Amino acid sequence: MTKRTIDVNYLARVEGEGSLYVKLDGDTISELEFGIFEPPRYFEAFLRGRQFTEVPDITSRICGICPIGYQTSSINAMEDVCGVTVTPEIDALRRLIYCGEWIESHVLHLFLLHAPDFLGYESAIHLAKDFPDEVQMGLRMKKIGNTVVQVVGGREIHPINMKVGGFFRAPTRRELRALVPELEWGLDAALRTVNLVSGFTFPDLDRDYLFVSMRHDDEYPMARGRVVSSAGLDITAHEYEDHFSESHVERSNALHSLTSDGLAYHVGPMARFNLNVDLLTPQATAAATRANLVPPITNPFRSIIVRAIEIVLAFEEALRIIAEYDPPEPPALDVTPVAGTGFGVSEAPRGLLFHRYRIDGAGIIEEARIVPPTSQNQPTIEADLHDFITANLALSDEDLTWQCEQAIRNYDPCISCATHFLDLRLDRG
Amino acid sequence: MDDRAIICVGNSSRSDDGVGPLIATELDNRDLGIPVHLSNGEPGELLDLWRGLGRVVIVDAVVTGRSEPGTVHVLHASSEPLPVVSHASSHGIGLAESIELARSLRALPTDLRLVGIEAGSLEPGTDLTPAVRAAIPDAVAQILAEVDDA
Repeated sequence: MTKRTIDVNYLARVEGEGSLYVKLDGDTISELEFGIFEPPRYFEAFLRGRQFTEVPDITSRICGICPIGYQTSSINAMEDVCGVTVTPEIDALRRLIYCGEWIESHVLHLFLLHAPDFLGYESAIHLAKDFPDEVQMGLRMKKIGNTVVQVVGGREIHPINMKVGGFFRAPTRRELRALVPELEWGLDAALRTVNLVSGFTFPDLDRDYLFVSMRHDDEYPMARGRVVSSAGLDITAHEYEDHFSESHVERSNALHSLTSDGLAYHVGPMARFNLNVDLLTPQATAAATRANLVPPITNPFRSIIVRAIEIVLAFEEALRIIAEYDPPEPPALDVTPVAGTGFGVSEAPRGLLFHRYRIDGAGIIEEARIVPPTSQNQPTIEADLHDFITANLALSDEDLTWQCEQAIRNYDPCISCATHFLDLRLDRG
Repeated sequence: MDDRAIICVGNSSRSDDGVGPLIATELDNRDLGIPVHLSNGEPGELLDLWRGLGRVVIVDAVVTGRSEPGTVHVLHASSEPLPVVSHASSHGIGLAESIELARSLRALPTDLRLVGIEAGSLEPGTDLTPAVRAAIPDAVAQILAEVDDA
């Protein structure tokens, strides 16, 4: 019987450090470990004893790629416990900055991290030699996302303008209108991106996923809404922990999330798309139709097309919000601390991001809990790999390793975030 | 027209990685008459900052692991490729990858020089280690020498 191993000590083109080890005995997978070994980051412990108003600034440091997700979920939780509902103007501005984050994060992943897999290049540096126009287009689109975050958030990385209750300062109409020409260019570039990635070849893999995402009556989900699933779940953030739980797995510094029934589930662009396709913006809907993207999408390799559709949506929404923009006055509501527990969710680029905080009457944080998307997807990533390897044992070690890494990157895993949570090893003996 | 610029890269929340921003402030105070930019080191931004320029000096903390913290390195990036270690970045794409990506796109300035200050610590924190702080005057002198080098 042939034994072989897939062993990748450092997974490239993912955020943070992780590994994959697969041991095969003939046609049977005897071990499969998607491990995460970046040291745990103890953010939940840092937060204890801090003021409830500090939480957006502290949690935004968890990730340089998705600070808006962290700020939004934490702010939602604090406003929840304090009984504050913000104005529609503040909601619109939050959605605008979130659009900026989706653009920069999705574009980075799509062009520089994931596209090289589909086109057969070792990295974006190699890809850029043969596809300079496409890479230049991606770099410009990403920069537009950064600029939206910078203008609304005060700066690009770890933005400082969001606070519990709203914003420290509302951007002026003129500041936002200045973004329009580049956003219009970006929308057109995003539509071209959908065409580009729709033409890729997708490895065969279709899985029967349990999809989980947010849903809001009025809009494709980003900064607000309930939590729904493809099995009919429809709950508020308050009930999240009744239905999903994390447990520690020895090989990984991240916690693994499962449903209360012990099932793996899938969060991120594919889940959002499948559960909210009726809420896509007009051009995103048309682009999805042209790309033949009919829900439910169950091949995880096609997530790159869904990400492109969400880039279109983010550009469209940014343009709409700016066209309708009415600066919130005041830019933030006063928030008085109320002792209790607050729950917040939002849709980070990689998927559902849950926060819970217990605070006392003076606003001091007594307990914090953060469940990032990558730890929710970790069991699903392992299940994908299991099925993919089983169906592709005939591939050479080199090709199998390559496609396993590609399969992990379907989830744009942000391992930095999940270490509170990659290396690929294939062992055929 | 002067076609030179200095671009300082770094993260002030990561100990010695804050040396780039500190040097940018130091250079700003000297009123050199050439632009001094602070950058996140992303390729899209760098391409915009150095488009059409001749001599560009880029300043960042580096980890070679082969020198004492505070050692000042000079690399002629327009003529020699930089070693790219993609997994070391926590922001998806690092400075070396950005420069190599620009090289692939044939979008480097004519003469790009990297002045790197060997870091002692990149842990979360806003203080530089003593060796790196002490190296700032040498690094500034080296940057000025590279900018003016005929």
